[in-house]
Amino acid sequence: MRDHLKISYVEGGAKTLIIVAIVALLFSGALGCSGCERSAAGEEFEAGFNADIFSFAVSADPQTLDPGRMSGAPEGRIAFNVFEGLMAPGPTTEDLDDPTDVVVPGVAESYDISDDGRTYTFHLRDNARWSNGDPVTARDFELSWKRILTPDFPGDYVQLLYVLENGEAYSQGEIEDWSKVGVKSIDDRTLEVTLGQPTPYFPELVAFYTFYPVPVAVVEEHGTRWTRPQNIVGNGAYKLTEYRPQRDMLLEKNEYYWDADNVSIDKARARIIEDTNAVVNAYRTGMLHYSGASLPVAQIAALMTHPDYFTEPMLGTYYLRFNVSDESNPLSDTKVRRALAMAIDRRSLVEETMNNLYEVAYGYVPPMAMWESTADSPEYSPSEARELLAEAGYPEGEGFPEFEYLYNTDENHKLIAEAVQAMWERNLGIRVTLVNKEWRTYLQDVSTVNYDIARAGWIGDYNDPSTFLQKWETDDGNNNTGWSDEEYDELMDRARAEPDPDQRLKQLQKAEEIVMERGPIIPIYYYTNNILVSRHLQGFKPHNRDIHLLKYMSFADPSETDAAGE
Amino acid sequence: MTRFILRRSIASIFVIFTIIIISLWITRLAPSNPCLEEREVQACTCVKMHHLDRPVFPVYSPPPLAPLDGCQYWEAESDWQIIPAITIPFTDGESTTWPIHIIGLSDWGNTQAAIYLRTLSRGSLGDSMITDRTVMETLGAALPYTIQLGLQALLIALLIGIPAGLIAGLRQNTPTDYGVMTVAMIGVSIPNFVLGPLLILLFSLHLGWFSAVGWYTWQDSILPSITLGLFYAAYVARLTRGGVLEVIRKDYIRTARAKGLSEKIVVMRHALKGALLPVVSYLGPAFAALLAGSVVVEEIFSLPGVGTHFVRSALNRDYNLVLGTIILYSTLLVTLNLLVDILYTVLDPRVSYDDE
Amino acid sequence: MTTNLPFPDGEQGPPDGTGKHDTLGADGSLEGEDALIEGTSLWKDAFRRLIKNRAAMTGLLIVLFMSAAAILYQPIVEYGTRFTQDEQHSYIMPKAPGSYSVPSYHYRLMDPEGDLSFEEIDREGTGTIDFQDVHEAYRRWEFNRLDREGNGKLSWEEYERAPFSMSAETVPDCERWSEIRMSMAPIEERSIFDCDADEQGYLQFTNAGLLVEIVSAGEARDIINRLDETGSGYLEPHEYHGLPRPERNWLGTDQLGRDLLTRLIYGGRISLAVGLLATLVSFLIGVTWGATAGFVGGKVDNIMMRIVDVMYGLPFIFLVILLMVVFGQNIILLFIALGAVQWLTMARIVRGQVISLKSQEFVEAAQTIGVSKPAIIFRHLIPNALGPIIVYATLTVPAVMLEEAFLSFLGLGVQAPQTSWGALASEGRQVMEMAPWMILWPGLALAVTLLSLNFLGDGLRDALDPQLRKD
Repeated sequence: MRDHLKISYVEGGAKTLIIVAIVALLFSGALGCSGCERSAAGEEFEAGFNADIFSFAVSADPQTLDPGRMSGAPEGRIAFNVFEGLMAPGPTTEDLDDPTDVVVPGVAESYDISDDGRTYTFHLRDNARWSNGDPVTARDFELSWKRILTPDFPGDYVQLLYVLENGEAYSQGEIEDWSKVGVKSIDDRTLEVTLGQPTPYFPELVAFYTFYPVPVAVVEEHGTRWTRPQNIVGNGAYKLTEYRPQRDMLLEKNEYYWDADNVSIDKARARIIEDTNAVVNAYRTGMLHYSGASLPVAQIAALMTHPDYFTEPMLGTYYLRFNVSDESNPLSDTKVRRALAMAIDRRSLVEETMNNLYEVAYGYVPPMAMWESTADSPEYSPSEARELLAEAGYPEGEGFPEFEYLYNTDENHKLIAEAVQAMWERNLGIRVTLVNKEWRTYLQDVSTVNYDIARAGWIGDYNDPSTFLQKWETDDGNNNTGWSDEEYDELMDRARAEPDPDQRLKQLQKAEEIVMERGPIIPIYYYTNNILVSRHLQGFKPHNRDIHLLKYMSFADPSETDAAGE
Repeated sequence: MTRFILRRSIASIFVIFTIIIISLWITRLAPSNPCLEEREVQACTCVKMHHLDRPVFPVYSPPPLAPLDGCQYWEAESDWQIIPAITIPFTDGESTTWPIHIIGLSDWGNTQAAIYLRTLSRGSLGDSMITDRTVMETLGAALPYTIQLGLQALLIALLIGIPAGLIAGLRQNTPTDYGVMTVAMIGVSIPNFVLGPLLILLFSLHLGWFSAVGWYTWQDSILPSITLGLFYAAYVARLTRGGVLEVIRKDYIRTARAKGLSEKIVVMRHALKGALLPVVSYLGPAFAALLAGSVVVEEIFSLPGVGTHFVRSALNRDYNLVLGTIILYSTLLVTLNLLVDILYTVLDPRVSYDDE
Repeated sequence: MTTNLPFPDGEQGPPDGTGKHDTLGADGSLEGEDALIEGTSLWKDAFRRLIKNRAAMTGLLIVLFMSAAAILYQPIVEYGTRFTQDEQHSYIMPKAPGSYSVPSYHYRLMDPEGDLSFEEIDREGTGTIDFQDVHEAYRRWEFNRLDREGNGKLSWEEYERAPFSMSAETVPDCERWSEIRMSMAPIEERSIFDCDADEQGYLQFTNAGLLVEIVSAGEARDIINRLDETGSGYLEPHEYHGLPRPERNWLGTDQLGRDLLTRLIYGGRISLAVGLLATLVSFLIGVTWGATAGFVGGKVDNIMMRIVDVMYGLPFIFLVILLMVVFGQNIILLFIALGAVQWLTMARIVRGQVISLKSQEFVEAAQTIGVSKPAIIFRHLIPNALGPIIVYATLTVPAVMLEEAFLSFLGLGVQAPQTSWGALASEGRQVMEMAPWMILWPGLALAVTLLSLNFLGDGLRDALDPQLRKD
């Protein structure tokens, strides 16, 4: 009986404790979200209903905020807003008549091109300023580019600056005289750039972050720490005022920016969310106005009906690559590769297997302004494929060695791999083993050319076919297939030296024809970018390199938009 | 006591040193490396900057590092091949044969291990090999979140677990006991990575009470703490109940009761103390488990903690960050275990480490 | 991550200094015979107690059931679910529990009669059946299935009962919907039904569009290829013996249309195998280590147990993560790594048991007649210490399974095409709002199995250890 008494006391005590704990939890929950609103089911969803300022997601902590060193997408999203080059990326790449319209004037008001297409003279605007008020001068550009070309500078995109005359030689330490490199500041407002070859896409290059100016004095003062928010000085429409690793970055309007009057969004928060599921959850709970990176296909089914679903074509190609470095391997035989290509029904692969999310690739270079593919794409024809294979010495796939198909672990790659595997087996009687590896290990195998067939993707660096075609030159570091073709190399060299843009395009078209005819690849589809972005955000237009500058964006009052009947 | 602490500290340093060496070895043995990118970048600059062209240990076999091919190798002054070759089978069925080398004493200081240990001895964890921030900076920003998450989870575990265990233990073999213990059993059987997403689904996406992602205000830490803590609450309840059952029959409790002390005092002063001993001894392993669990919880809720860095850096082959995280975790664990042992002697005077 | 310590070091003795294996030894001493009688009754007694423990027995039954399902995966796939774990039926469309798909391998043909006769399917009368005909035939099949009244049109009530796959957050207007639905599955919203219904509120087959699609055009093509003997890409009358029967996805599918029930059974196979094998590894290491330390004693014991102490302080799970990242997701490595994490407690328990056993007379007797040390350890000491070891091993299985699931969840466990419950839950998390069943079922399977194993372990402890018994 005593036991009973004792127990009831303890029970009472414990109960109190539990109740206190639960009440505390509930209370904190209610308190924590007293300001939160949630659009009830049925009500129209409003992006960012829980965000105080314009918010978007970036997919990772930036590896660096130094525009000269960076290479990734999250870094780019910040750099494009915090810095500005001689030219700036335009709002869209859609429906352009002239490929040079991809970029608009930035720090430079205008530029002149010499007749041989090798010398660009940029005229800088008077009112271009750094975020500390100093003027942006031609000298800033020269010194910034010199910094990147300094031998052993750890920049990911140093190679882009090799378009400058003697840029490569200086960077490799072959010459030490900077004055021989083709960049010269004539005066504060004039920058003269001499290129090694005529480069029609140079204006787009200078709109890319590697070519952006850095505040040389600040860099010298703080060393690698100059990109910390307390030190960083930029010349873009925004300045970085706060950076909390793995959490967010705060961008505030730069009052010194030359076009500040036309910048509508005053403050923006870039939330760092690595997990794409979390991005979608954040979007749904109203924390974001723009989801940033492309969403995984697993999520798309549920989002295609979302009013904020947005899809844009990307300047990128998904393709299969062959290892042709070993002459004795049947895959080195052009006929075999052609047979394999003809045995793949790309149309059904993309439209049916991939649920039409991407665009069937009939060529290798994706569609872009002023570019017309002339390459003859191998039509799906199992019977012709069988004939070709028989010609190559493997009738009905007899005697054809079993080979491996390498892909990095991902649902998309796996689906394509399995569909292709089935098509080859059915149409040609060829057996393929699928091998999937983690990203890093996959990279190792590809870069050491240790595979038979591997999936691959390539996203263009600028709107010019050469960014896709260069990599198949014999010595290119991104070739990774062992493919080498003298005619191709010669063609590419000629195209590089060609001052006439039309002639140049013709040569590039010819090059693409060669790649499609006997190159080490089978293109499958052109990428698209599937994202969520608020319907009420104006100025957000399709861009094939996923560059969306905040300065073009503005918010219409939702009620107004509705009234306008959009 | 002092001797005990001293001895344990020395052992701890030895443990951490061993872990550093093992981790150094495992990371460098992995295929691929931090300088490899999808596009050809300044790989050689990166390789040289991080000394990846050097052997890891004085006894080594050169691993195949892809971007190294085009770079100039660092060369040891003296280099002997001592064993003709060793064949290492890889998990994908391939195998690689590497010759094994040993380098001369004068070059030992140039090995990656020596360079890393030198950095450590300066009190630094080195630079990240992927980002331009130091490992200290990165982990320093993340650690407070992980610690706070762990402490909150532990608090939840103790606040729920101890009372529940007490009730069950004191009312042994009653429906209350069975009820509490069944709930606890269910609690230890639901993995936190199932519980977490379900909590998000219910409280964030459907009810909209909490945010689903990140840690911006302290309310954001409630769901993660519950996710992490509930499992241990259930476990603590089981331990407490066991402790109560053991203590309740002991003579000193009977004596206390016989003295006519009120039940409140008997339970709170005497029984509770004894019943908590198993819980205290569990705290050490619990910390370890909480840290491991926080890796998953941080992943689920996208929290800015150390766990996220750990998995990500291992996948990215950011060697220094991996090592830094491992060192951080080990130090935390070893220290906490030491503290728990000391706490144990305070709670239970019968335990003394000096006559071990 | 449960570092379960049911037996604090040397706290309890063994059930008794007894064991049925004694008689097998060379020591036919009195002690041994004595033990035989007593020991048998002890094990019997324990067994009786275990049977009485309802929770433990339920746990045992569930575990046995799960194991049986895992072992019988092949026949279950062939005659039960009819889907294999890795066959895909759609791209980004998870189907809800109770939907239908057409199996790729273990299918049954439907009778080629009525709606499914050659003439009915070949609507244009071309004399051949192409993939569009097949696509249409399956749409008709699904439409008829939903049309319970048999009046050739669907009311909202009939339509609503169909196990559709997803719900939209916001209902799109009809124009937008008509674009979207060309590429995806039906949506569980009345207004979308209304977009396609006639004025009386009925959905005619001609307007049903993809709302009644159960195979995609691509899949219809695959079905043709499977039935087509000549490789012509279409079916001729003599090749047509009926279409494969759609089978039910009892637990729904994932976004690739893989049958979740089949995957769950397959995943259970891996999860349980990892649990058992890793426990076996920990058992072997732990028992050998603990028994050696306990039996040899002295300095060796001291050093061996200090090593164990030191290793307790290691953040093992992080090293396991590191190993898995570094060496790829190799399943053998997974067994070994997880087993290697768990043996420490086992070693301590065994050592405690052995120390208290080795001073018993039967061991001394064995020593006097010159039985070798390993023989004594493995033939006399370990069998006698078996009770606590079994209990601890039983409790190790759920701990290891949890760890495997934890690794798989981080994407570091088993690698596709293999899967485990943890990996399934991880996949499910990505689409949990759209397809909650994808995380619920694997989570439930895991939780129930762990619960059963924990109950079983507790029951075993209660049965084998009189001291801790409830009464």
